[in-house]
Amino acid sequence: MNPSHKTIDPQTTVRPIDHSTFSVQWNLFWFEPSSVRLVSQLRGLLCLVTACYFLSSLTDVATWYGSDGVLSRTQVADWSSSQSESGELRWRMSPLFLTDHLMVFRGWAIIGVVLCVAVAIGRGGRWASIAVWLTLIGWANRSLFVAGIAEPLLSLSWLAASIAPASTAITANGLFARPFFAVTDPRGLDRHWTATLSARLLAVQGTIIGLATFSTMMAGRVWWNGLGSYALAAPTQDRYFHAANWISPMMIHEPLTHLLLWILPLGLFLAWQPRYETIGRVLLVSWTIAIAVLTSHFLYASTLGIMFLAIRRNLDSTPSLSDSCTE
Amino acid sequence: MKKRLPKSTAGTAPVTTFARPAIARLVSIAIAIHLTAMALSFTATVEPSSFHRKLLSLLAPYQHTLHLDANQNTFYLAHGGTDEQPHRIQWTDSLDPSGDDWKPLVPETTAGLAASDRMARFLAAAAQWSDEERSSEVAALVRPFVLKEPNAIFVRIVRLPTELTTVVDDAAPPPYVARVIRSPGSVDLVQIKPARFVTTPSVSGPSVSGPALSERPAK
Repeated sequence: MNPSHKTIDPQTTVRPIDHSTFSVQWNLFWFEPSSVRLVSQLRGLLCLVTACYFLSSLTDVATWYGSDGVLSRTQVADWSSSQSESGELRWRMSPLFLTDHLMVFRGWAIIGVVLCVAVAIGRGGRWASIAVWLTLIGWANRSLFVAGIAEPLLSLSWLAASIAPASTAITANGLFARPFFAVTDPRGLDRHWTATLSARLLAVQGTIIGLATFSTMMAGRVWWNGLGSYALAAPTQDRYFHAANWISPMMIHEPLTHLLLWILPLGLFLAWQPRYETIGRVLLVSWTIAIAVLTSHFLYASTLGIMFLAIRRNLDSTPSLSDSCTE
Repeated sequence: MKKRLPKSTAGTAPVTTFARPAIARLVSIAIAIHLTAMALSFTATVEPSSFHRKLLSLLAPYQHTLHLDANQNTFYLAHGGTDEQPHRIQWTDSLDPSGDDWKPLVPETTAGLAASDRMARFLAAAAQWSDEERSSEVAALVRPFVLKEPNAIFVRIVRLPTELTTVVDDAAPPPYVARVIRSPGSVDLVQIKPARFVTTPSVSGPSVSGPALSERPAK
């Protein structure tokens, strides 16, 4: 269906449209209106993860920032002037580069938490979501090279999640409305094309990250010789769970390695098939839980899991909207 | 096109809002560019080619500003390399850096949360820079920690052994060891480099160079 600003009127003549062309399929995929329920649920989870990120960032503000911190303004100025790092730092922009006051950093993180709560309960409209995203970007860019694998995923997720209309994640339309793996029922709910765009962007981004992760995992020999899962858990000093002890038998860590490698593409493939999407999402979420337990990258795994939950061929479109358009 | 959604649907008919064709076309172009940039970034985590790097540098104004780039982080999760070993920063007040009297310079934090991740990345980066002979930059990274420990005479970054490392790996010297030189108003770090085999013939002794100080103290 071509995007149209007209609302369907049952009195007008309705004709079938050709779904075969790429542009029609593209527009149906990205712009067909759907309810905000799915995005509300995922955005609520995203608020939880982002709030945890800001709260855990509060614990080491004095280590990195402030005039005595490793990433003080003086230090950053020295790096900026060096040839090797100037290109890297040029576009890492943040208002937090303007100060060394620790209270500003702490206040920034607390504002981030408050904004997450506001978005979760549907306050502040789209601007609240955008504000969470900008707060996160400001913090992550100021972190420079100590920002890791959670921050880009959170930023990508908030880019997508802030597109959809605001809605609460904790009432009848939101987080506790129905199981995550069920296809939502659109009747009785508002539908908006930006809700579709938001959910699709989350899903496609998660798919790209999953495929890129799979392909780059294959570049390491540990994913072929059966030691991959053990390599994830081996640095026990930096792991919350000492999973290396549990998977040390060869008959456990070698099959687990092959499972971790191949479940990712299999889960992505199945999650995009309407008949098997629930199985696909279960596989993908299981993969993120396993990665979280083995690597202790909780924030990364949670965010990627949220992206995976958005993967589905059909959001909540009704046949009348999909199959027809007005004259 | 309806511009807004009502806050509550209770008692009102559901509202459906469609995209204007012109907006849909613009958004489609933006989606294509964004997803291409993202794919380029997340496939550059192992070892990008120079062409790949040039493409990423073109996209840096967009991706770096919004922190959307993978930034060559380990999204492949594990390849079993030395950079994946746990790193620790330690100090000693002994005059002999080969002794065992090393104490942690920063306290341990709960693994898995943002604070622990940041420290792990920081120490891994410092160790990698030391491997790349960027001693003055490593010293600049380490100095703020040394300032908080006035009794430190030597400071080092060590790679801890893991279940996967061998005896040979574990016997490798620490990636960074430095002597702390204090003078009124300043603290300097002078890296102590490990002995290395050299190919240049030596007249007076075996072909092993002794411990040498780095080229200059890092201010």
